[in-house]
This record gives sequence, C-alpha cells and structure tokens, in this order.
Amino acid sequence: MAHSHHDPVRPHQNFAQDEADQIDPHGFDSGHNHGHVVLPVMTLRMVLTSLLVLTAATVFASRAEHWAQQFFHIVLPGWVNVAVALSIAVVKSTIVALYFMQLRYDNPINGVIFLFCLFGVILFLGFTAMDLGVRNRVYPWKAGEAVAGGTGGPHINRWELKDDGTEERVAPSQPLYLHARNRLLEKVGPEKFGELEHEAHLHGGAHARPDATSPWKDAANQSRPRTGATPGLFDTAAPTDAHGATGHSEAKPAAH
Amino acid sequence: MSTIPAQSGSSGDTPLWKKYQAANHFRSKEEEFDACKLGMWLFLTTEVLLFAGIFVGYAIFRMLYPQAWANGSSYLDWRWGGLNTVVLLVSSYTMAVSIHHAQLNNQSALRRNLLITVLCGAAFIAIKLTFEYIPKWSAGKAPGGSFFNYPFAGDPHEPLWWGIYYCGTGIHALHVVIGMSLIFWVYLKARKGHYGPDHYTGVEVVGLYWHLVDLIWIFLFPLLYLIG
Repeated sequence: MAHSHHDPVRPHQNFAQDEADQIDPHGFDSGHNHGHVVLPVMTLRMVLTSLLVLTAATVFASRAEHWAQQFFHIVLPGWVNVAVALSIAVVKSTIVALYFMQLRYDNPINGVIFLFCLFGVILFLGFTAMDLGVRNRVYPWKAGEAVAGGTGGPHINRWELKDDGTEERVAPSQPLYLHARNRLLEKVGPEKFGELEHEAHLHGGAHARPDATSPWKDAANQSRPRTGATPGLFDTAAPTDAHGATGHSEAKPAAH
Repeated sequence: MSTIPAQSGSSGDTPLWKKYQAANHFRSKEEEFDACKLGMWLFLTTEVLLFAGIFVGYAIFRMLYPQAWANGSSYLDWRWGGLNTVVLLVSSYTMAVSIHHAQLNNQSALRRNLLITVLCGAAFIAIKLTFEYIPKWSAGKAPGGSFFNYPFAGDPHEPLWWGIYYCGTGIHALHVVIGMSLIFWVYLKARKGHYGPDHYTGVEVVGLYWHLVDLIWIFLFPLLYLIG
C-alpha cells in the first residue's frame, strides 16, 4: 500500500502526499477501494433509530396541538403545526441524505448537484407562497369585491341512459360535491341519509375545525375577481350550508 | 484497504465480482463507479423536480382552499401513514446495510438484506391498497371528474384534494414498485455473485434510488396525514 497513514473515512485525501505518477497523476488507480466508506452497522442502526424517534415526534407534535386545545384550551395557530412538521421532515431527510445516501462521505459534486436541485424546489415554492400567501395583505381594498372559495364548479358532463334507451348528456348545474350528495338523497330518502351522514361524521372526516387563527386563512381567495373568462363562474358565493342553494339557479323554462 | 477478508463469493471458482472489468472508456473501476453515481444523482434531481411540481400544486390549493385541505386530511388515518413511514425507514436501513455487506463480501447477509428491502416495499404497497386506496375509492373519495362520488363532503373543493392525494401518493407508489423491481433484480445478480468489495455499483446506485423514494415519503406523510 502506498499510503502510509490512512484517514479511514477519506483515504483518498492522502493523494497529495504521494509521489506524482506520470500516467495516473490524480491517483485514480492507486490503492484499493479508496474513496469508499464502509459505514459500520452500528452507525446505520443509530441513524434508523433517530429517524424512527423523529417520526414519533412529528406525529406527537400534530396530536399535541389537538390536546392543547382540548384539555388546556390553548389554541395554537395552524402554522405552528405546519412549521414543526416540515422542520422535522427537513431534519429527517437531511439525515437520510447524509448517512443512508452517504453524501457526507461522498464526492462533493454529488451533494452540490442535489443542493442546486433543492434550490430550484425552494424557488418554486417560495414564489408560489409569495403570491398566494400575501394577497390578503396586498389587496385588502379588494375584499369587498372578492368572493371566497368559488363554487367547486358545475361543469361536469355525464352521460345518462334515458328510458327510451338513448343516451343524453347531463350537465348538472351544481357543484360536484352537492351532485353526489343529492344523488344519494334521492336514492335512500332523507331519513336514511341523515343516519348515514351521522355515521360518516362519527368515523372521521368533514368536521375538521376551521382554522380561524391561521394567518393564511383565506389569504389567496380574497382576491378572486368577479369577472373571468368563464361567465358566471365567480359571481356566486360558496354555499352557506350543505343543503343550501348552490348559487347557480336552475335554468327554468319561460312562464309559457 | 488490505484488511478486507478475501472470502469466496459464489461456489468454487473466482467470484464474478473479482472478474469484473470496467467499460473500455473508463480508466478504472473507481472512475466507472464515480461516473455511475454522478449519473444517478443527476437522475435523482429530475425525480425531485417531478415531485416538486406536486408539492407546489399542494401548496397552491392549500392556500386557496384551506377548509377543503383540513377536511381532506381528516379523512386520512395517520396510523396507516405512520406505519408505512416505519416500513419505508426500515427498508432504507436494510438497503444501507446490504451495501455494507457487499463491501465486506458477506454474501449471505447481502442477499438477506436485499430481500428484506423488497419485502418491506411489498408491505408498503399492500398497506396502501388494502387500508387506504381501495376503501377510500369505493366510498367515492376519489379525484374530480367522473370519479368523485362522496356524498358527505363538507367543502366544494374536496375533489381537488383527492386529485392531489392520489397524484402524489400514486406516483410515489409507482416509484416504490419500480424500486422493488430493481432491488429484486440486484438480488438475483447478487445470488450469482456479481457484487463484492471490488464491484458493487448496482447495489449502490439502486440503493440511492430507494433512499430517494424514502425521502419523498418523509415529506408526503406530514403534508397529507398530519397537518390538517
């Protein structure tokens, strides 16, 4: 072996001390297995353990917000949970990249390429958030004209079989979610529907508490214009209750 | 590193990893290994950018329709997501361990860990299908268009949530399946003795892909399951 004192982690750093080889001046062929790091299994186990602990921590943090409100009546703003969850995710992914993917011991060019890519991701997310996240601050004077949320869109084309065997294109003038709701209402009747809905809400979903404290609440949709390329798309309010009018009145035939 | 014990890889003759020669256009096996890894990292950046599009879509619609996102997240059970996170982290660990054993020429440990990794991937897909995709889709919790048919939605934009959900987790699940297939292919080659201390490029490069799949899930899990 040419190298007298090996750095066990980065053995190739000793190249400069070697005599220059005219054919192989960078020492590509010197030594056996140089630049390869054999990570001890114990290190890998510690990495796995820390990742599992961090997973438990992120789950715990998301539950803790709920408990704080339930038992201590402390309402944490919604962004706290987002910030905590994403910070833990960043730490976890850094550990995976440094140890499992061995970026810590690798040729630095690989890490640099990865960082450039992450810079792109941050750029995309950053500019998106810069626009949508602050519209409520930029356009407060527009709030009077704005309509929150839109309607979920009535534009759905469905082909239904008529009694005479022909097919007809049906474009229900309702948002998709009300269409699904009314279809079941027609099928089972209001009483059974009430039971089913109660049951569905018992088993999770659709009753999440609105996050009144979030600074980003309604941030983006406050600047929705009344006019747009699609006539009538934005000039209605979102339904006030689940059974309520959709805002899109049925096109009724003339009185005669 | 002359300390690496020279065990025989496969039965009898010189193992295949000892006979391996780098392609003509490389100066050495080392150079080939570095080039392969560089190429894999370049490919991984395109993968990250693919998922970045989905994350940006998630961010846009979350800011536009916070209530739909809160409802959508409440439909998901964090316990299945958490279990799948553990499964993927363990599989990433066994993948890293199998590289360790390839470097030390522990052939049976290499094969065993590769196989465990594949099985973890299969468990991930099985959990996803059995407890999440199939019950949700059949309840009408599906993307918009002609799929969405959930009668108890509390917000008009829930179909959009399901669009992002199935797009993000579906493309991720596809990557899990591709990763599993690649690792199984590496396992078959390892059985023939292709990998050892002098040559384990295949294990290393496929391992990088598998860790990236893990990396993506580390972000998908809190975004979809935890922050309502």
